[in-house]
Amino acid sequence: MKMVQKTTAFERVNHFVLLVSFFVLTFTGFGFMYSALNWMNTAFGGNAWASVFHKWFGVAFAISAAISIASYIGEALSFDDDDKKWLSVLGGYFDKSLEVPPSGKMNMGQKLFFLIIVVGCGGLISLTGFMLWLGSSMAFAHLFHSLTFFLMVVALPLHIYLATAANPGTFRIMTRGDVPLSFAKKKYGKWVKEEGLD
Amino acid sequence: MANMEKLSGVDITRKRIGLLVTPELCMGCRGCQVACKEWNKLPADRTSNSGTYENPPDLNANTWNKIKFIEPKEKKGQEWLFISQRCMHCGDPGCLRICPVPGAIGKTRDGAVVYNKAKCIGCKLCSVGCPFDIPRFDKNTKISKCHLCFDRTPAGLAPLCAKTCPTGAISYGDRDALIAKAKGMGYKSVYGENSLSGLGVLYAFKEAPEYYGFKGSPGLPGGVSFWRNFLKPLTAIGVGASVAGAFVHYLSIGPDEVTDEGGDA
Repeated sequence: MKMVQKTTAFERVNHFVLLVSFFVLTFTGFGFMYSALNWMNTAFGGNAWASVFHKWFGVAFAISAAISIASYIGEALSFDDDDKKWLSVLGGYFDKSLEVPPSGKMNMGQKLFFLIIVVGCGGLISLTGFMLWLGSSMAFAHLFHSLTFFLMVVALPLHIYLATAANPGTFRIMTRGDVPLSFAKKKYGKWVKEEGLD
Repeated sequence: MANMEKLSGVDITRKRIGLLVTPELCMGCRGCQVACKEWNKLPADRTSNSGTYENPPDLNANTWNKIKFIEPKEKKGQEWLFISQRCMHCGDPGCLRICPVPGAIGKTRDGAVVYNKAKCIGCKLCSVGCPFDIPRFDKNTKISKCHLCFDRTPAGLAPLCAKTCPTGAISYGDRDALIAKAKGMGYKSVYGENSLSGLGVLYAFKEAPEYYGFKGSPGLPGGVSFWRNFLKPLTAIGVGASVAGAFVHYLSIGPDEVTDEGGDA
């Protein structure tokens, strides 16, 4: 089976830095947000250590998110008519009989997830996190840290589902980086053509 | 705390203690400030003269109560107000609501809002939750404020500020009795009687609260109230709905399989 390379090793390592830091931040975040979930912080050595983990994994998250933003913002901001059509049929996710227009390296759903969750929320949650750490405008920072957390933590299960069970074969893009040519043609038809991978 | 009324037959959680501050009786001696420092072993502050008798200029990690001096200009001349300030020991404390560490801030069953520096992680979020700008932070950025002498009151001793007050401007006792006392003295309304589930520190004001530099109707800061009543439950529900939605999608519409030929499965 002919395989095509979709991601570089650097991209995959960066994604796992983002993944691990996000999970550390989410678990300690839940531990701090809900007293009923405070037991989660025990796994990090208690609340004081959980606070240290939350801050420094926040730094890792912010750097990793910044690398992601720099890497994909160009692709994510280039929309064409097919992207609009993709959105109008919601990627065919709710009706398999609909015809889904071909996508470039990122489909419209991935672009929107990236722009809203990674760029918008990732940027704002990092900024407000540093504000809370340094004690500047804490009331504003606390509110927007919580609001962006809400959006991210609700989006996460959908992101995981879409990248695994909903689209079998996709997860390999973040582990080995290569996918079968047939898969790439169906999911990222325009990208395959542009890169001449056929 | 468990519902003590159910457990014991007596609603002891509502037996709140408190302080009643009557600014008209205060002569600005600041004995309360000194007594507080003495009992709690808090060092004095080095300050400079800023043209007022008010000293130190603000609450800080070593000054848990102080007298605020206000000089409002009146038609007839000048007034000079002395108002004792400290943690208000809210019935529904914003600091406790926002504190991320269970047990770092707590409420005694007689209503004192207390803290445990050993558990405090120094995040300072309590200052966001407080409607009265009370929490201050020591050199380890841990919370430092009045705890209503919770190391005296269970033994039947009055907080030192009230005990030392020579004029009765600060009086200590059963909260309901203090409200009755203020009303008996002719004050129509008692500041803090109902706001924030009732403040532990009550003020007998003869003018509007704003005249003394107090908020007219204190409540939880808007952002904190939104976070606590709306965002916190919504986040929990949202995560559950998101996970459930993914499962339902998989079980009903199902995954987008790709065959080896690149077609739909």
